[in-house]
Amino acid sequence: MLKRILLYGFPLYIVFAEGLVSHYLLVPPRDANNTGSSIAVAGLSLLFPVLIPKQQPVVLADGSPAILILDMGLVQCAWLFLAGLAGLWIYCLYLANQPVPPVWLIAPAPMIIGVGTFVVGVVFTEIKDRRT
Amino acid sequence: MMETSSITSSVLVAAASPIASLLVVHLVKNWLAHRAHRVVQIKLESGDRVRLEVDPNESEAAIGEYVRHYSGAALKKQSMAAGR
Repeated sequence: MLKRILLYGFPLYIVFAEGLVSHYLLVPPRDANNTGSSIAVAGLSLLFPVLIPKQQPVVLADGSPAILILDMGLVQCAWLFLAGLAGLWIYCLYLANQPVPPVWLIAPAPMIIGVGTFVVGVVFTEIKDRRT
Repeated sequence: MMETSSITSSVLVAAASPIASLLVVHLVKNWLAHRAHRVVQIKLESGDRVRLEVDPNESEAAIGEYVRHYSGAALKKQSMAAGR
């Protein structure tokens, strides 16, 4: 449970950490415009453990050994998302470095992309953890 | 400097991410549980890879036990039949 609380709160830690660095450590203070892309990278990093298939060695009825891969679909899906979200992260960097980053709905676009990527990462992690 | 409203909305979006994550996890797990089948892959000694459809609600131990009852040839035959 503690692991989940720490994991789910990661975007908030990044927002506060970047805010502290940008406003109190940097001279002169400047905008914390890398927050969204940092959260996106945190989300991407969650996908890497999902790429390792869950394997189980078995001995078949004829005595031959075999390896059972239990989450092949999830692993293949994670590879696709990793490639797609990496592209999205690059787009996020591009948007964050515009003179005025665009705003989507209620928040800056890089922030929306970052949080979206993080949510995808958490979903993959949870499914990998809890699947049967 | 970044506007205060922009900072506030960033904090709000970041704070909403745990709720969004929980919701999406719940939806995806629900969808996975109601699928008609789950595909597992078996890597045989010969190097062949066989895909086998199993009940999505079976435990990993039960799937392992199920696969143990097959020979390599029977698995390949079953996989070919499922592929048609």
